[in-house]
Formats: sequence, structure tokens, C-alpha cells
Amino acid sequence: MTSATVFTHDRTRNIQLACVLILAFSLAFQSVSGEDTVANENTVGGHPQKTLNKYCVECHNAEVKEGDLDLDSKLSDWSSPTNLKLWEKVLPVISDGSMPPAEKPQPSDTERKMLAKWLDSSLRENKSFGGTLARRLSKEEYQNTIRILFDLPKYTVPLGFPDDSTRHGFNNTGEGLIMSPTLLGAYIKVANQVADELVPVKKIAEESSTRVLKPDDMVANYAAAAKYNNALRFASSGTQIMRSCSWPKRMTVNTSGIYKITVRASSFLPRSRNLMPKEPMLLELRARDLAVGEREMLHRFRLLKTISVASESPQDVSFEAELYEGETILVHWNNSPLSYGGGQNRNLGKHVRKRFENDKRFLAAWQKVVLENSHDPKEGTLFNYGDLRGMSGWEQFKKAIQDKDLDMSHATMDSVQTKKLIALFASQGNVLGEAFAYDYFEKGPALDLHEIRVEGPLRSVDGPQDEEVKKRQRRLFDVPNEALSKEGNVAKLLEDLLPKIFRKPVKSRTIDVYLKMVTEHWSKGYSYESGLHLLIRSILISPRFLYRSLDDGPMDDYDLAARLSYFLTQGPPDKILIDLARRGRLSAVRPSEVDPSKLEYWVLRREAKRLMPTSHSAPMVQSFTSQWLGTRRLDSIMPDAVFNFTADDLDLAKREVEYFFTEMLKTNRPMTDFIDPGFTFTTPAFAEKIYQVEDDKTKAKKDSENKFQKITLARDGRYGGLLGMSAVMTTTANGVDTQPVLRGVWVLENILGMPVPPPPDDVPALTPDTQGAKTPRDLLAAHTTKKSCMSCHRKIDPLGFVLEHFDPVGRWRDKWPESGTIIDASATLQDGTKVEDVIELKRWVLTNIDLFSRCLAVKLMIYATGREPSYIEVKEIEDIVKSNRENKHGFQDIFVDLILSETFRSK
Amino acid sequence: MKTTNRRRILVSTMATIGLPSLESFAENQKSIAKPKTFVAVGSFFGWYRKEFYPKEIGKNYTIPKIIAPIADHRNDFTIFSGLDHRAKNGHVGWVNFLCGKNLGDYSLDQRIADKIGQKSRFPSLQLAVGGVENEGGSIGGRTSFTQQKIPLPMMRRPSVLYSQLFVSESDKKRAEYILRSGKSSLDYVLDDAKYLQRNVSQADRNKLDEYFHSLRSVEKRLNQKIESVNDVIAQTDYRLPDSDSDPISSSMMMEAAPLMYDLMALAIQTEAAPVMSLMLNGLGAVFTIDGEALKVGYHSLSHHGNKPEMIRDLLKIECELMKHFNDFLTQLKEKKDAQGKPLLDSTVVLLGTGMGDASRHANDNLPALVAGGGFDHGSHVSLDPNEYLLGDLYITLMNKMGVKANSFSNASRSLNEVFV
Repeated sequence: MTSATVFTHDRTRNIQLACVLILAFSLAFQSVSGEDTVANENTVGGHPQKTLNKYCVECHNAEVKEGDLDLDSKLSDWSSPTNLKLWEKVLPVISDGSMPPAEKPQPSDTERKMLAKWLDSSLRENKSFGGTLARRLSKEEYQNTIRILFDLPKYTVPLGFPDDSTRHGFNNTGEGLIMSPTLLGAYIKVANQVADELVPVKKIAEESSTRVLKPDDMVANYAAAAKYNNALRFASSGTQIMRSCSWPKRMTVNTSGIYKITVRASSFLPRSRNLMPKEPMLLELRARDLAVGEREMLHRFRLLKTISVASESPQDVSFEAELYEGETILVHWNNSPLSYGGGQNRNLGKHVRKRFENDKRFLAAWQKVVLENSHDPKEGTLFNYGDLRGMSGWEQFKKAIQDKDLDMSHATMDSVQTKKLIALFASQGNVLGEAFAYDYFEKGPALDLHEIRVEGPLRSVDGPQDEEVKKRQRRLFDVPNEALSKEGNVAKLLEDLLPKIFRKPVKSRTIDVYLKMVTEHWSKGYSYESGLHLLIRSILISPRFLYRSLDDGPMDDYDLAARLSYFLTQGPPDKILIDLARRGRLSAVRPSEVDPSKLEYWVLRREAKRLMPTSHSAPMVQSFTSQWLGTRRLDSIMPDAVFNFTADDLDLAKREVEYFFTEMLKTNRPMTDFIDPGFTFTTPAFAEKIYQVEDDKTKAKKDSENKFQKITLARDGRYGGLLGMSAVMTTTANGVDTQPVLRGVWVLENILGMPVPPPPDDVPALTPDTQGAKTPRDLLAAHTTKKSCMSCHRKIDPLGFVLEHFDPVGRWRDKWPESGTIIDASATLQDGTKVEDVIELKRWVLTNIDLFSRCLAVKLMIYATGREPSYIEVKEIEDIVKSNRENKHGFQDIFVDLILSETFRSK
Repeated sequence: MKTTNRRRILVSTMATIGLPSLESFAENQKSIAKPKTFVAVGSFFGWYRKEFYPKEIGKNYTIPKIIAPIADHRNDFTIFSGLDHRAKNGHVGWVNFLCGKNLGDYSLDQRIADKIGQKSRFPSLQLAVGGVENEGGSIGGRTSFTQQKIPLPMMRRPSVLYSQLFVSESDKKRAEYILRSGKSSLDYVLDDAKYLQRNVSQADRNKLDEYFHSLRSVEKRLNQKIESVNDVIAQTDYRLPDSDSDPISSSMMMEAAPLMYDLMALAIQTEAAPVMSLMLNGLGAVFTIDGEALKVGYHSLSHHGNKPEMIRDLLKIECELMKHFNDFLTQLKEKKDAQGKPLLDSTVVLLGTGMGDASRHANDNLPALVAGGGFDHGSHVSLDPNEYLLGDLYITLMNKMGVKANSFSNASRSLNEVFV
């Protein structure tokens, strides 16, 4: 533990959010929220405005403007949203006593209460719902939108595309989604790329030519093929192409078309009857896409033709086949008795067994070469047969078989040596097969390729890329109607396309603008397609596409559709949503079944449930959880080797959070299960390694050890829930040691919803005397002795200490690693509750579950609406949380109620 | 054979060599210039250490076999032994070459490119010859990683590199068309956007101002680009061999590497890219060297098991690769920059690997060699692995390139004291 890390403050945290949430917390904590506040200016304690004048306006007026704040002028106008925001900030500093400053006259307790009540009721009266700044699409939303709108499922924005900045904890809020010249430049680049995909530049078909490929023009990797007597000889029918196939070194087709392919091949037959093939040799020609790697398997490549090679003298066979741009020809012997590599080495074991049965000297020679060459004394572990590969191994074999003194004493099928030899062929087939292949190269059976002639293109055809383009064009642009003029067609196209891309109905004025643009382009002599290309490029940089919910007035059904869709799927609204919006049905209400006196947004509810993420891999789950819980940071943490926590473990830890969140949502678990669920999702191996859970049943089945699954954990125990999850403990540490301050801040922000403000700028850097400190606790004692630190750190540090039992990857420990001191995790919480350890902390959170529910609900609302909720919006969220608990509902219910709330439905 | 191809068209439209002309400034810039270019050459299967490291330390070493092809330049390079990244042993070792201990960390070339490359046509170029390992896989054979740990794609077609370095007339026309038409369409987009802005709330109007501001700025930039599109970027009379297609398969490494080196030298001369990396892959290819086919493939030879014949053939391949490297160094010496100085003086060339001993997949003691860049060369520097890491050499190279850095991966010492 270094003091440098302990005392690092995160100054970027937003002080405004902090204040609002602290206020809300303090209200929730006193459980006053709403019930005993009365909207009356003349409550006991005096007149609120007079009291404000008396204690506050002396400094905060138009002239002095202490803290750049003039309360005097704000008193009159309660309708201005900026004034409301300001009063939201005034309320907490009055109720918690931090204002007026200590040296100034202080209001009495009654006066403070009166002011707080008055501000509360005024803020409630002057409802301020909504106020999200116009949001452009975030990077993820933008990419998904391009993929879906233009049917380009694999499209990724170019490297260097700017990232979004995070505000209020999320990268999709209105304040953070800033437009910049660099970003607009990137949008233009993407628009060009998309236009090129949709309306590709026409390629000129090349003229027909004939290419003659000789054995020297063909690739020979490993022992896939070798040159014998001016022919390229094949021996293996293995299916990993680099170990058994050949293809031209430098011929690729530039024009998709029909080509005439002539292959000259012959068979090389063995003298020995035993080895004589029973059927004619089959030579396969396939299309090899050169973009696909050499380790790939044969079946990835399209079969062009199978040729029967029966003659020992070279014969020509011609056929016509389609080859597409970027492809060349792959040659493969389909039915060799020998095959190895690419996971087929067991076959090699069986194959050599037959050969050994028939020839004992052959067996003895291989025994000598292979068994005497094992460099590793420990059998069955790692052998280095490097020098037995290919011709090198074969030459050793030849030497051995010609040796008069060859030891034949173990050359029986039941000897230990033979069994070991066969086992080695089966396990080290990539190496030994490469040498064994030479037996076939030299003695047969083998297949000889003499020449390939490729003539063409005889005529061009559409390759798969061309087909894709055409399909996409048909779907997007429709077929041009021949009865209509060019203008007519494009006008029709715009009427159809623009509302889809802009996610809103489009007025004729806008259509006319783009129509004019295209016609002017045509008038300069450019083609119809060029016009479309330009159109795509231009539409994609329009603010109507880049921003959402841009227009005057309250949120309409289209905006609502976009908000719902981007919230739940990170993508644009689908057909169903757009259709509902068009018919004005998305905001349809009817009397609630539960309480007929209330209206219910039943269509919105239905759609929310339809689009709600159900898989851990849903973009919403990954994006929201990683930002809420900070697990995004896991990518940059590399735990120290002593924790035996690999990159794979980091990935498992992250997935655990995603699975857990998804399960909570999908199965509508009670909110308390976030803290003490009695289960988690991970692999049994991980559960054993980190959570010390041993499950005999899963252990019995070795296969399931690394399968992700639901794992039972004891309730009211050390592990389980957000406060006992590896990902959380790892992301709040640094991979080397734990940092109680970070964990404390994390719990306050993400579990309790009470973020601490960053320290004021004038706090001097702290260099405490920590000599003699034995534990992190001693080190941090300075925090609670120095007055400037105390006010925040007495809230932060105890929560951090409670989690000290978790090491930097979330495994339980009883002692601090360096000093060996028994960990003291006890702490006194803000309300005076004493807890011994995390188990008791969890119990405390369970009894105050509304704190957590409210915290999560606010986070979800920020993520969904892109703004920090206002006072009145927080009140609405609190009501949802409270009624959820009282009705014993679950997380899914809160989730849906948040979507149905006025806060969500306000722009 | 085919009668026409794109390259022929290129040939006919190319003018002779024209460099960014800075000659007039040459007189005023006689002081020792900071190196401008960084090149890293990595071998997939490593270098056979016993014939890479000289037996003697210091200047008067006996030339080992792998070093022999570059012996003419012995006063222009330094050989390092004893350094490594402390990376895990195993098959993935080769991709650790530039990123240090942890696979996928911010690589040396990218750290330099991010600092010095931002104003160049290509901040960095990633090249590979001899096939690409696990193409399309998550990391595969990639060796360059951004700060965000994104593996950068590698260019393996000399013709693509050529056409990017020396933009063809038709490509230029297309670029100009896109710029001009894009610019004129902005007026329409703007017209519609302004119409939109009139009908939104005050807050949204303010927010949209960001958009209009950005659009104006982009428009200015487009104008600049349109003006410069016809400037001579760089032209050359160099021609790629006339052939049907690129030597991109693993078997073609020996044909592809010289082309890539030629193009890299041209890129340095035309100041197109200040940072380049070239990976020599080779995979399982069976090479023919001096007219004789080797018995087994490169990969199999790398598993030589200390068998003399295997090592002999492996050395043939590695020496052949060094011959290519020698030609590259010769070109960098012969070609002069605007100040009339050899390109090698202002180019730091690192040759190395992430694989220590391919025969055992061991990733300790990685052969490394640094040429050019105005260092004091000519020695074999043997370092105590308990004291230094390969990252320490990288820190020194970064400093030399003008990148302030005190650490690289697990190293934090630098070799500034031993290598000046």
C-alpha cells in the first residue's frame, strides 16, 4: 500500500450530482420524504423569504454575489428551469447545516426545518420534468444504427473514431455528447464508407487471359506437397489446408467470372499390393479465398470440381467454374489412405498400425527413429520431435531401415514399444505425419499434379460481394420504377428512406432540399448511382440523423420510441415501434388493472417488456453494468502474479456481473437479491478458485467445470451479491493491493447513492507521518485526525475497511498480506450502526434496501434519459422504489415502472 | 498470361522521382538532427542465437554467421544480448516483440507514432510478409497495439502499399471528386439543418451551434484538402515487378521481403511515414534457397532439436532474411535526405523478435540489433539479464526518437548510460 494511491482524489466527480443525491439521501434517511412536508409559506418558524433574506442574501445578492450566486433575483421566478436547478442545490446546504458559514449568524433548527420544507414544497409545486440536452448518437449507438439501417452487420467505425466523454457516470448523457470538428470529420469518413458499400464504384472487368501454373508456381507448406519428377506430389488427405493442400503462389482472380480450368494430373501407384488403392484417386479443386488463413479447414472452401485420376500417365481434364474476386484455386487429394493434422491424428495412429502389422522391419525402423529420439526423459510429457519433421525424419528412417543391425526384438504388435510408438503417432501426428508422408511421396500411392491452366474470365458473374450489394440495394432503395423519371424515383426513395434514417416523419421541404441536391449533381453529368452515393453521404451527416429528439414541444411518440429503443437495445427503433409511433399508440393509456383510478401506459409497458434485454451479451447489459459498477476498468487491470488471476479470470469476473444483472432483471428478483442473492453465475472452477465453493456434483463431471452456470452460494455469507463479487473487488483495487478509500467511495456512489464531493481545491496535499503504520487502517488514521479530511473520510473509510477481507481479486483473506496482522474489518456507519464485517454490512443494506434501489434506479434513469434527474424526478423515482418494496415486487417491476414514469417520458 | 493490369496503368502515368523539396533549407540545418524515422523488423520464429550473438563482447568481435550478410555495415549497428521481456514462454511469444511483457500492451512503434507521427501522411505503417498468422483472429499475429490495446491490421500486399504511397492518377481523381461533391452537398445539408434549428427549443438551438461550428471547420478543412489534392504527394520511378498478383502467401516471403524493404526506404525518403514495422512470418513454408529446396518448412526447421542439418537449413533462411536486411541498410546509406545526409543517420532501425528459442518456445534472451539513428555503434553489448530488460533498450530508443518516457512495460531503467 502506498500513500500516493491512498490519498488520490478523483476531482472529476461532479459536485452537483453529489449535492442533489446527498440531499435526497438525507431525506430518505430521515424518512420524511414527502409525507410531513406541507406546501405552505406560513408554517411555524417564520416567513421563508424573510428568513432567506436574513441569513443568505447578505452575501448572495446581485452585488456581492458570493460564490457567483445571487439568490435575491431568483426568488421571484420559479418557472425558470435554471432557477429550479439552483434551489435544488440550496436545499441540501441549508438542511445539513453547511450554510451559512460558521462565522456568520446561524438560523435556528426550527428556521432551518421551515426553510427546507418550504424549498421542498416549492420545488414539488413547480414541477420540472425533462430537460435533456439534444443528444447526438453515442459511438456505440451510432455504430449499431449504421449496422441496422444499412444492413451492414459487421460494420465497425474506423480506428481512431473519437470516444465519448463520461458525464454523470455514463457516456451517453446530453452534456457529454459533444460535437467537434474531429468527430464530424469522422462522420464524413464513415458516410463515405457506407456510401461505397451501398453504391460501390463499378469495376472494369478484365480481359480474358490464360495463366499456366507449373509445380514451381504452387505453394508447398510443411509436407503438404513436394516436387518429384517435375510434378507436385500430394500424399495426405488431411483437412487442414496448410498441411495437405496446395494453391498458386501468386495467382488471384480480380474479376468474378466463369473460368475454364484445365488440370493435368496422374496417379503414382505403389509397387506393393498392400498399399495399392482400391478406388481411383479423387482430386478436388476448391476455391480458395486468399483472405482466409492457412490454418483453416478444407470445408471452409467451396468445392469446384472432383476429378477422378485413374491413369499413371498425365491426363488433362477441363471444366468451367465460377471464381470470385480475391479467390484462387485450392488443390486437395480427397481419398489418400494417409491423413494427419488438423485434429485427425487419431486416424494417423490407426493408419500406421495397419502399416506396422504388414511390415515388421518397417515397424522396427520407426521404433528406432521415434523412440530413440525422445529427448525428454519424462515419458508422456513434452517431447521434442522437431528434427523428425519432414524429410529430415524420413532420412533418419531410411538410414534405420537399411541398417543391418536394426533391432527387431520389439517389432511385434503387442510390445510396449509398439504401443508407445502408435500412441505417439496419434498424439504427435503433426510432426510425425510430416515425416511419414515421405514414405508415400517416394513409394506411393501419391497423386501428381503437372499443370493447371486457368482461362478467363469467359464472362463475368456476380460474386458473393456483388450479390450482397444488390440484395442490400433492393431492400434499401427498391427497384427503380421505369415508368418514373430519375427525379420521380429518387423522390419516392427519399420519402421512404428519410423517415427511416431520421427516425421521424419528414416534411416535404426537407425532401425537396435533398432532391435538389441530387438533380443538381446529375446536371453536372454524373450518373444516377453517383447521385445516390452523394445522397447517402449527405444524409448521414445531417443533424436529423446524428441527433435524436430534435424538435420543439414535448416528447412525441417518435422521440419516445427512440428513447426506449436506444435505452434497451443501443439501436434505432424497429418497425414495430415506428409503426406504433406513427399511429400514436406508443403513449396510449387505459385504466390500470390494479388500480382503475389510475391510467396505465399499457403499450409502452408491453414494448418495454418486448425489448428488455434477456441475454448477458445484450449491449445494454454490457454498457450499463460496466459503467455503473466501473467494471470497464477491468480491462486495464492486470492482477499481480501472486493472485493467480489470469486475463481469462478477468473476463469471467466481468461476465459474472453481466449474467447476474440479466438474471435479476429477467426473473424479476427482489431488490434485496442484489445484495444477498444466494447464487451467482460463473464456472465451477472460478467459484472454487475465488469463492471457495466446492460442488461435488459438478466436480464429478469434469466437462462442466469450465461451463458458465448458476452456482448456489450460502445466503448471509461472505460471497454473493454486489458486495461480494470478484469483479467489484478487483475493479476497486489496483491488481496489487487493496485501497479502502477507493472501495469506500465506490460503495457510497454505486450502492448507497451518496457520492462524496471531491475535496475542495485549497486542501493541501497531505503527507502524513505514517512511520510505524502496520495496516492500511493505521495508514489511513491520518484521514480521521486531520480536520480537513474528516468530514468526507469518516463516511468513506469505514465502508472501505469493511471490505478489507477481500483481496485485490475478491478472494477472502483473514490477514493483511505484508504485516500478517489479523484484519479488523469493523466500522461504524454514518447512522451509528456498528458492523463487524461485510456480512453485517450486507444485513444493514438489506434493512435499508430503498437506499440501494434508489441508487440503481437513478443510475438507470441517467443512462436512459441522458440527464441527471431533477428534484421532482428524484421524488418520482423514490415513490417507485418505495411502492416496489411495499408491494414486494422485483427488479423488473422497478425497471418497467421507471420506463413508464413521467421522468422517462419527458424530453 | 494476362495482358493488362493496374500496375501497367500506374507505370504509364508516373512521373520520375520528386521529393518534398527542402533542399533550400539544408544550409541552415547542419546541426545533428534528431532521428525522424523509426523502423522495427521482427522475425516470427526468432534468430538462432548461437549464430546471432558474437562470442566476444565489445568492438572486435568475430562475425557470426547470421550477422555476416550485414558485416559491411558493422560500424552502423550494435548487437544486444541478454535482454528480454520476461514474457511467458509459449507459442504467443512472437507477438510480444514490440509490446513488452503483456501481450497486447501499447506497443513501442505506436508509442512513438502517437508522439511524432500525427502530422504525417501515415502516422505509422504495419507491414507483414510470409503470410499472416491467424488472420481475422482476436489478436492473431498482430504485433502493433494502440494505447487502447487495439491490434492494428497489417498490410501484406506490396501493391497496396505502393498505391497508397504513390497515389495513382485515377485514385487522385476519385479523391478529388469525393471532396468536391461532398463540399458542394454541405450547402444543402446546412440549409436543411438551419431550417431544423429554427424549430427547436433554445437549449437545443445552443447545442446545435456545436454542430454548425464543427461543420464550418470541416468545410475549411475540405477546402484545404481540395487545394492540396493535386499537389505532388510523392512520385517515384520505382516499379514493382510486373506480375499477376502480390506475393502474399507464406511461400513467397523471400520474394515479398525485398519489395517491402524497397518501399519502406522510399517511404522514409519521401517522409511519408515516420514509423514502420515489418514482421517476417514464413509459417510452414518450404523455401528454395540458391536453387535448392530445403528439406522441411521454416516452422519445422525452427524446431531443430539441435540437429546440425536442421540448424544448417534454418541458418540458410535466416541468412537470406539478413541479406534482404543488408540491402535495406545499404539503401538507407546511399539515399540522402534533404540535408544531403544518409537516411540511415536519421533512421533508428530495430531488428529483433519476441521468440528467444523457437525450438523450445522459450522467450528469454531475445536477439536484438539496433542500426542507424546516430548512435555510437560497432559493438556487441552483452547485458546482465538480472539488471536489464529489453524494455530498457526500448526506453532509450523512445528517448532518441523524442518521446519522453521513463518506463516501458516492466522496464524502467533505460540503456541511456550504455548506449549513446
